Amino acid sequence: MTEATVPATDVAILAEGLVKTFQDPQRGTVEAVRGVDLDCRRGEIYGLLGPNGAGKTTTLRMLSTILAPTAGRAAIDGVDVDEDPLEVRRRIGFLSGSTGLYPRLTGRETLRYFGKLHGLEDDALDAAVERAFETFGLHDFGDGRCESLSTGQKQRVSIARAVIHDPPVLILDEPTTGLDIMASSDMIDFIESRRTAGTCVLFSTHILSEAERLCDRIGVVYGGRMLAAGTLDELRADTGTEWLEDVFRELVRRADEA
Amino acid sequence: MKTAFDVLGAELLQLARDRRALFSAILLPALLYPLLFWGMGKLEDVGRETMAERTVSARLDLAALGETMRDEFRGDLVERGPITIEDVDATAVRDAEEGEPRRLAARGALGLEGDGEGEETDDGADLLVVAEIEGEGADAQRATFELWYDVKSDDAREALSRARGALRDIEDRVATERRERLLGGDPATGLDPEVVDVATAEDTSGAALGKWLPFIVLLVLVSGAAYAALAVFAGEREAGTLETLLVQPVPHRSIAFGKFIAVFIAGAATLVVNLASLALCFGLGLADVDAFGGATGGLGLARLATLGIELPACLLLCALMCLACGGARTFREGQLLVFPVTLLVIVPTAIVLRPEAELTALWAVVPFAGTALALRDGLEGGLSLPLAALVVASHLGWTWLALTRLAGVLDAEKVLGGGGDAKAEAHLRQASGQHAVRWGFAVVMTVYLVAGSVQRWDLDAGLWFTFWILLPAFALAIAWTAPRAPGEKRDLAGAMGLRVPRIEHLVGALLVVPALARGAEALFEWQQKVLPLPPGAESSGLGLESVFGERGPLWLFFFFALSPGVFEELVFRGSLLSAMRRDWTLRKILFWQALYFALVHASIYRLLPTAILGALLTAVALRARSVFPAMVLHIAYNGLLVLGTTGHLDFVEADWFRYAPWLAVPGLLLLARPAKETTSGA
Repeated sequence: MTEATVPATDVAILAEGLVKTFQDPQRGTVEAVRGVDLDCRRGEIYGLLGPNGAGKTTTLRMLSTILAPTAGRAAIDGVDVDEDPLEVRRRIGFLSGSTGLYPRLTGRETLRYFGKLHGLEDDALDAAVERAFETFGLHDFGDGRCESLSTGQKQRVSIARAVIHDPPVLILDEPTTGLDIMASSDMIDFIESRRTAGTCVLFSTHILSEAERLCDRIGVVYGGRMLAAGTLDELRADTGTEWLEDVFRELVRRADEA
Repeated sequence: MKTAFDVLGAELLQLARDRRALFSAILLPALLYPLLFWGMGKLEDVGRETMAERTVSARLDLAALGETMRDEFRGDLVERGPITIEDVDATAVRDAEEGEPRRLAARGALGLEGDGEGEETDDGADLLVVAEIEGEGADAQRATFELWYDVKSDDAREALSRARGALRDIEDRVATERRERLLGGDPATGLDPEVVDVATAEDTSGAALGKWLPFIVLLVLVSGAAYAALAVFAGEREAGTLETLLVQPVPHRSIAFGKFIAVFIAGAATLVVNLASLALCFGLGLADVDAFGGATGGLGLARLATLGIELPACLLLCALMCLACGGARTFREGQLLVFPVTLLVIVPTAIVLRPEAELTALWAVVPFAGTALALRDGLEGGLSLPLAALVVASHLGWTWLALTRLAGVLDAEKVLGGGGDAKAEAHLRQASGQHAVRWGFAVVMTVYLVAGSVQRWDLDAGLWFTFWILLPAFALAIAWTAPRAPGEKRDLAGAMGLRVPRIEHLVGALLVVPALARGAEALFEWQQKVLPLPPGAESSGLGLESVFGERGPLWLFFFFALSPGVFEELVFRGSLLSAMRRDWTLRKILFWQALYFALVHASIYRLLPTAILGALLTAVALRARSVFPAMVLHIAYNGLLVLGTTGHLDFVEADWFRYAPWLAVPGLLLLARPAKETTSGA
């Protein structure tokens, strides 16, 4: 899949030659991401698939403006991440598997806090919080402190927090990591629901079944590079294998041999 | 600004619901003084019972009194406990001019010579009582008593207490007799006891509030602000909420500022609660305000207003706490980082314990030292307003500087490091850094408490124990317990920095020593102007001449150059440095090495020179990737200074010493050579 095939107005996430290096006291200069290209359209679910240490998290952190790219460029909803990071942050909802909640705030207080940080005030803030309560079924536990919630309840509050400002782009970093089966199913349902809402969803995972079920397109990341990207059928055709696990192995084998 | 207030609101709400925050910011500072005074009261009761059994000595000049009163006073004193009484003629005291001449005369009559400690002669006394008869006509028999004593002596205070009791009894009797005999007279003025302390004005201030309040206030502040800073920075990072916060469409500096204000409010609340508790203790009579210097001029509103000078210190402390805790990746790591901040606060504040230290323009700008001295002077009623303004302005300036760096602590590059996938390696490195901090603290405290005690008991045994048992044991323990990756072999020699060095590094280390010694001399001369050594130790930079002057040069070289050079280096530039190198940046390593090396020497006078030396030795060891050049440098430097300052080696006047800076140039060039790549154990 190349940029030429995607109408510019339809692209919600665009990355070109993204590079990220770190200075490490022990290892010296570490290249975590070595020139990643990707594009993700509105209403599309795009999965970044790769093993631990492949560079998925770093890529998503660059796209969500948490980390600054060492080289290359990226834009969210047409806004360059380097030039206007605050505007980019207004347009994204970000959630990772390791995201926590403030234990001593209630679900409602959490939503109000993050709503305020997104510039919502007064009636708009109240309406956004009520909408989140309705959408994610928070009425039964949303006024209890987060420290007293179950894993699934916390997950729902976390999702509600990430979309309290109704962002056009969702960036999810291994969103099901550490979740039990029920909470994980809730998350998968939520991601699927975003497709129909027209939201662009970019998420990383190393769980093949998740990628197979959810993704319109998949990008395979390994050693900081994007090895291949496309629909599952395109990847199968490219590698001559049937199962996603075999697709992945074949792409890694080619990369190691190159 | 709106964002900062939004963050502030959320942080305060969480702190208010956090029991540990409430305990450290409200409950602990509120209970501190009642518990302290209750404990002190109990100790005083026990002490009083013990003191009642002690034999004290008193010198009495009661010639002016009638025989009856003289015998009565003497008899009453004897009844109150074991006492040795000696009749003396205190005409010299009586005739001396009021003020300093009279105080010195009284010290002479007590057998105390000069103003130093430990100078009591063998036949000295604890109390001098000088009686006189004043008044004319009907009041011709009115007696006045001067009771001279030294507040620093337990026996003297006990003797004073007994004498006051005896005088009270006599006064009651005299008052009753007069009431019966005289009409219209004032029976309450039967006697006029006057208690006079022979201590110097500086010693008197030692008992005053101004001497210990700066410490208590800052320590209480540390308690309140530290937990808040840990909770809002390190706690947030550990809970996994910080990453979420950083992707919100608000500037990171606004988030950091909101958090800082929350920490400041927690710190200020701690301060207010603590001072209110103190006032309440005085108000309810739980503590005697006179005993804390209130008797000398009282503690009026104007003096108490000086406490306001602690506010800039509070701001600075909170900013430093935020900086320290903001750099921590976990709550636990944050707790370790609070320790150096606490030291940064306590060490400069210790200046108030030196009676000779005055609030000057230089001290005013030193963080925490300025506020401590200003608070002391203010409580004693002698604070200069321009200097107070300088203290406030400089502390606000330091705070501003700290705040400009605060937004940086939320820099995601530092907060999150690399990607989220290398956690095992990150945890190992983090554990290595924490290992260094914990063991460094253990070394400092053990040397200070254990080794110091053994050295005071027996100097030679203490030095053998410190250098040849304690420090090698620490070096081995630190290296042995250093965190390792699964499957990683234990390299004990490598972990202690015992790698074969380049010969150039050894020679280079030797060549820079004379220049360092010159630098030490210059530093000492400068420090004498700012913080003079106590009387008796000013003749040498290390204060060694007066103590060890009679020891031979070999003994001095062995215990003060060779032994510390080898074993201090093995611990600090060997085992600790290896643990620090695994994770920390150069700046962080230099800071902690300087801090621990300065602290282990446990002297405010040697704090700066040892900190600088510690950083230099660290730089040498890092460059050489071996502990041996640092050992050579340390031994030669100590040897030169110790033998020089004890008169065994006159290097300052030597011709070659003039060329010290020129020797340092090739020395530095040699040290600059890259280390050997091989890491074979020695």
